[in-house]
Amino acid sequence: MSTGLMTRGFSDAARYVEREARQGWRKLNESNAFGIESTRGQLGAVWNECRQADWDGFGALPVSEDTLRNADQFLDSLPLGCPAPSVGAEPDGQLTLEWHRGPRRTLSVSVTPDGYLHYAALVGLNRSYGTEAFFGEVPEEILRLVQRIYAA
Amino acid sequence: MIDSSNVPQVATDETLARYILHSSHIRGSDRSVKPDAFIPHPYTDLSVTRHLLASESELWGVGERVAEVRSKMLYGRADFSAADCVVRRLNVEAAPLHDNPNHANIRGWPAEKPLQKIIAQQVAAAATFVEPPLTP
Repeated sequence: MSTGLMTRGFSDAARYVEREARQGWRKLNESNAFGIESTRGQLGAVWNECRQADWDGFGALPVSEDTLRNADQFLDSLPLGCPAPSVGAEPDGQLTLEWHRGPRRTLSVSVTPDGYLHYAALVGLNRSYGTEAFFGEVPEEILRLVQRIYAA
Repeated sequence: MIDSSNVPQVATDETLARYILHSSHIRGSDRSVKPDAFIPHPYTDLSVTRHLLASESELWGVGERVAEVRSKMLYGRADFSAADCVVRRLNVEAAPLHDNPNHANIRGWPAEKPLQKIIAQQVAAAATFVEPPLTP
């Protein structure tokens, strides 16, 4: 599963193509039953609540704009039809995107300000965890775990 | 509550409570607690309250004080067993405070974030979210 939207070009034409493709992608996603627009709303709301230090009362770090931008781009990069995650925040200032169907069918992805994705999943008796760099496309391993969470 | 002059070590069969002070740490779908609530930061240990010898009203009293001191809302607490920590190589150590002799710290967390997440996820999976009683 991949959006295939990233052009990786640096010319004006490449940037134009990428911008148009992204706008088209957003329109498609808005019209999709599994659209992520409500998740994007959650993202803004959680960021607003957590952008000041000590937002949890236990000394949490603030969630930075870079983290918000990366999380927003991650949402943009989800394939069409991908179930929408719920949004949260961790006390180290990272935003979380979670796909959850039960205590043993759950995936949490932490988005960092410097473009890394830390993930952990429980699927039945199995557990998976690790770190992936985020270069504008959702890593295959994370997509594979989302599929496993929602497998019949 | 525990007698502050005689605080026993934490037994593996004890129940612990983590107070929830942020709405995003609770899932709207099934009112369960997210692993985000168990990530230890900025400290290397996680603050909890032991159920040992505490009544429900005493447990909620501690939670209300924790929230009040921090000017936060108390959304509830996550109850879980000390054994859920011990089997993941975490230590639960009594750390009584002047206003909470039942206070304890969960220590021994790994430094790597993915490892913290998978442990927090397993503890959260075993935890029960309890909402505060309705005030009249």
